[in-house]
Parts: sequence; structure tokens; C-alpha cells
Amino acid sequence: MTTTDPGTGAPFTAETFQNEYLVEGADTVDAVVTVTAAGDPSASGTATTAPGDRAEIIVIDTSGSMGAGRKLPAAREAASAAVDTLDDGVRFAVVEGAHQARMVWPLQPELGVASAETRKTAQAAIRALDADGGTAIGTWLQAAQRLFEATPATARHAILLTDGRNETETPAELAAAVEACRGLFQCDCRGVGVDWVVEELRGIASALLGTVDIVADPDDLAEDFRAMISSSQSRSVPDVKLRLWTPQGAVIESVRQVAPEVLDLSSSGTASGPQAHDFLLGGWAPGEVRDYHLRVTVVPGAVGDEMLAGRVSLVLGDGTVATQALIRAVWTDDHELSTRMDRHVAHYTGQVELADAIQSGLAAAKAGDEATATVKLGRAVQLATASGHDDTLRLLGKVVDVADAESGTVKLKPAAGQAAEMTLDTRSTRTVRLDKKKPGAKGGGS
Amino acid sequence: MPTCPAGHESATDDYCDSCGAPIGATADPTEGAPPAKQAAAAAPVPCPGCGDPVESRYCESCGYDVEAGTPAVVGTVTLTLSADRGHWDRMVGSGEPAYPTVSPTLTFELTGDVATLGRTKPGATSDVTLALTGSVADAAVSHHQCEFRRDGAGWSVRDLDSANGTWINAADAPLAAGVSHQLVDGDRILVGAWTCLTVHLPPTP
Repeated sequence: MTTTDPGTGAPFTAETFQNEYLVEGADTVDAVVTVTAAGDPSASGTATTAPGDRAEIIVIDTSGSMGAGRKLPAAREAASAAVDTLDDGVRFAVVEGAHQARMVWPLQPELGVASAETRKTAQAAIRALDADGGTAIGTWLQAAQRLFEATPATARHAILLTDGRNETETPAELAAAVEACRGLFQCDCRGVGVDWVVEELRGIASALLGTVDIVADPDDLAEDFRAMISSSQSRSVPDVKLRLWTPQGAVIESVRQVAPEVLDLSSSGTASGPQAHDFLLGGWAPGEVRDYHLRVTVVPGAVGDEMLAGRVSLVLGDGTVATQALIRAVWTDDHELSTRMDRHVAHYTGQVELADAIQSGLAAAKAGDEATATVKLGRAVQLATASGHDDTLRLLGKVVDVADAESGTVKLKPAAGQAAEMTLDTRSTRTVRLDKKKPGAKGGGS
Repeated sequence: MPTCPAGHESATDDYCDSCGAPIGATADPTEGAPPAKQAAAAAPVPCPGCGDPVESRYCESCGYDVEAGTPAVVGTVTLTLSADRGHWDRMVGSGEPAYPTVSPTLTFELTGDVATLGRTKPGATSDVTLALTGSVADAAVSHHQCEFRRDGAGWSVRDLDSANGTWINAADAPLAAGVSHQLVDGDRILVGAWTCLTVHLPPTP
């Protein structure tokens, strides 16, 4: 069940940032909607979803390649740390994945209930894990799907760890497995080492509303797993949907989460009523803030006309509407009004371009196209500098030598190293929020 | 169920849930931003209702909604003027301006898009549409006291930075600058030292 913030009574608030003024004949309406969950983020330990209403599955890659180096011991420790972090009463299971999935704990295909005793027996089973076989991530997801389908718990979350590319099944089989899981559970994906494919895990994580990250050093896995379980357990409002109503003749061009990271939700919308589409947002922790960039094209009005171009509603699991935000359009012949760009829309347009520049720059570098890679990564340095995205700037600095950040003049580092490139690629979708205190771009940008 | 200017029935009462057009008492689209220029420059066209020239959305003569192509709502909004002792007690209490000895009566009709209310000197030219003069010229009413504006299907009132404020019903403070009040039937608008305007809305069809 969900709860409301005792202070304001509303579990969510939503705010629209846009320039609603359009020049005569213009039909594209852009807006950034900031959604904030009520509550104090520091009080997140006091989850309001009952433990028994929460389900966690830990999926560990035990394919043959995991046997190399410190990977398997680190994965065992990480899974053990994750189990350790589970609150009493949470339903959970540990699954190992190779060319097919196998239950580690419990042995029968169902979820157990966390307690001091079950945590201990699960950890003993984890210690006995061995590496052997291929990598068929789709079958692992199917195993998680069957377990989640059989549980009454409504807050469902999985962690998926792999070290390699999906090999013993086709990309289509994996895509079908991912689609079957969409909306059923959220899944955080982690790649250990440098032999996995960023695009593959990013696809799974974004479809299943989870995060994706690289754990280059196996010894950092345990801390990461602990953090993922804690953050999942802090999500006290499960199954939130964004409902977007648009006027007759309108087309929803895109719906993107743009903070804390870029997540394109456009293709995940399902019709939910006359002129309304629902987009799954997953669970929310108290105090959590996310920004969405929505773009709608409408039938243009005459100068002086006003139109509601979009009504954004936050819909809870039980169907109640928690809050609304309005996206408006007003046609004017005053060019001073219509040519202004909203700061939030401009900022996130830049952040999405930054992610694209990094991904296409790295892809060009991999394909041996140094000229394109230099231009794209140079543009990324420029955008990251202008928006004050220091984390991304630091990661870019490991891949390129920056001659002039403001103009985006860079040179590719001759031996950047695969881990540096994969880290940059994986984290390219992370954005920074607009700094409200500073009116312009930060860090010397124009 | 509310109906939008294009004639759609809408389950939502702020904007039409079919076409997104504003319904009735919506926020002023220009609020919080420089005013958007309205399509006022268009040449006058004959009103489909009465034939008089129309320069904006509503016919000044008969209230025909040219944009939506619908005649004026049956019945008009009227304001009846009277003296209000309670307001005088609050504003003056004793002395000048004195409470009127003969209770004045006057009825105004709200037509067109905008109407301003103000006190005018007899014989002087004035730009207000609702002029208080002669026996109803409450000396404490400003020359530009308040403005009535058509707000979708209804009307709203806002103060025009008047000396003594525009008070609504039992409010214990006058309307703040820039704040509009949406008129409902029976509202009492109190201005000057004793002037009370009672709102009569036509019955909704």
C-alpha cells in the first residue's frame, strides 16, 4: 500500500517548465515536468511498503568466463552482501545463470522469506557456486519472470550481474524475454570486467526501469550490491505511472526521463483511455526527484488562442491520480515571446545531446573512424563543460586529451583502455540537474 | 457537464478534454508573463447576431461569441447598486463622506469583453464604461476603480489600483493587486465609502 506525506497530504508534486508561447503556425510543444515524491529522503529506511509486499531476486552469472581472476569470488561476496541487506520478511531468491538458469536458494522454484536463518542458508548456497557453461541472459530473465509472477508481492526488483555478452541465444530471444518482463519487475544490471556489451545491458535496464553500471574492479561489487538492495527497499511507492492526455489531433513525439539519467520511455506508452497514454515509472523513494522532457505536436491555433497541449497525471498503483501538471500552448505574433527557450528544456536538450555525442563518438572510435570520434567527443566535452557536468567531464578526460574545453577541441588518447571507454559509455546517460541558483551556464560556458 | 467554445462536452472543467481549449474560469493565459498580443488588429466584421461591427471575440452590442459562432448566453449579467451600511461603518464610521440619506438604485449590464467602473464628474468625458455620477457618485470611489472582464463563459473582477480598494463579500481585506475574483451569482462588490454592487448572473441553461 502507498502512503501520503503527512505534511502536505499529496504523495507527489509535479511542476511544469516550458515556454508556452508559439509563433503562428508552430505545432511543437516542449516541456520539462519535475516530479517530486513527498517525504524526507533521509527517512527512507522507514519504508511504507510492508516487507512481505516486497520481492527481490539476485541473478548471478556463473558462466565459464566468470571463473577467471577474482570475478566469481567477488560475485559470491556481492550476492552474499545483497542477501545480508534484505529486511526481515522480504520475499527473495538467488538464481545462477549460465546457458540456462538454476535456483541457488531456495532449491524449489519459488521465493523464500528473509529471516536470520534463511539469510544464512542462502549465503551457504552462494558460497558453493561454481563457474561453468554459456551465457543466455534471456533464460535468466524468464526464470525471474516466473518467480515474480507467482508472488503476491507488488514491489518487485531484481539485480542481474554478468561478465559477458549474450551468446547461447539469439538477440531476438533476449528481446522477447525482456518484453515479457516489462512492467512486471524492475531490474538493475551490472557488468563486471570488460567483456560484456554496454548496449545489451542498457537495453535490459532501460526496458525494466533499472540502472546499468560497470564494476571494473570485482572488489567493488559487494558495496554496489548492498547499495542496490537498500535503494530498492527505500522505494515505498511501487508501480507509479505517468499518464499523458493530449488534445485531438495531437501526436506524442517523445517522453523521456532526463534526470537523474536519460531513459527514453516513448515506445513504452500504452493507451489508457480516450486520448491518454500511460508510461510506467516504477517505484519511488521518499523525496525522490525526477525530471521528464515531453514533446507533443498539436494542431496549431490562431494567434491569441490558448490550448491545453498536455495534461500529465501521476497515477498510483491503485489507480488514484496523485498530482497533475499542465502543458499549455498560446499562439502569439510577438516574436520576443515565442523565440525564448525555457531554461530547463534547453538544459535537458543539451544533456540528451551529450549522451548521444558520447555514445556515437565511442562507437566511431571502435569502428576506427577517428575523425568522427574526435568531433563527437569534442562536442561532448563542450556540452559537459557548459552544463557543469563534472563527473562526465572527468570520465571524458580519461578517453581524450582536452586542448580547449569551451570550443570542444580534443585529441583522442592513443591508449585509453577499454575500461575507461566502457565506463564513459555506461555512465553517458547520467545527467546533472539545472543549477537553480545560477542563471546561466556554469563553468565558463556562454 | 462543462462545454468548451467548440461545443465539446468535457469531463474536465479547466480545459476541454477533447480539444484542449480553455473552459470558463481558466487562469489568464498571459498571467505571469508579458501579455500576449491578442488578435485585435483584425478589421471589424459584421456581427452574425445583430450586424453591428465586431472587433474582438464578443460583439459589444449583443454579446455574440464570434469565435465560437454562438449567440450570447440567454440573459445578461447585471449589477445592482445600493448603499451598504456595513461597508461605510468599516471605511468611514462617522463624518465624511457621509452615508447617503436616500438609498440610490441603479442597474448596470455587463456587455462586451471588458467593462471598467469609475466615478466621473457630471459633463466630463470619461473612458469608463460603468460611470458613477450624480447621486450614485460615491466620493471615495476612484475614477478607475475596478475592471470586469469576460472570462470564458463568466466574468471576473479586479481592482485597478484604486485608493480605497475593491472588496468582495465578507472578505476582511480588499482584492490584492493583480488578483481576479470570478463572479458568482449574489456576490457583493464593495467599493468607495458605501457603494455595493450585487451580481446577478443569468440562470444557467
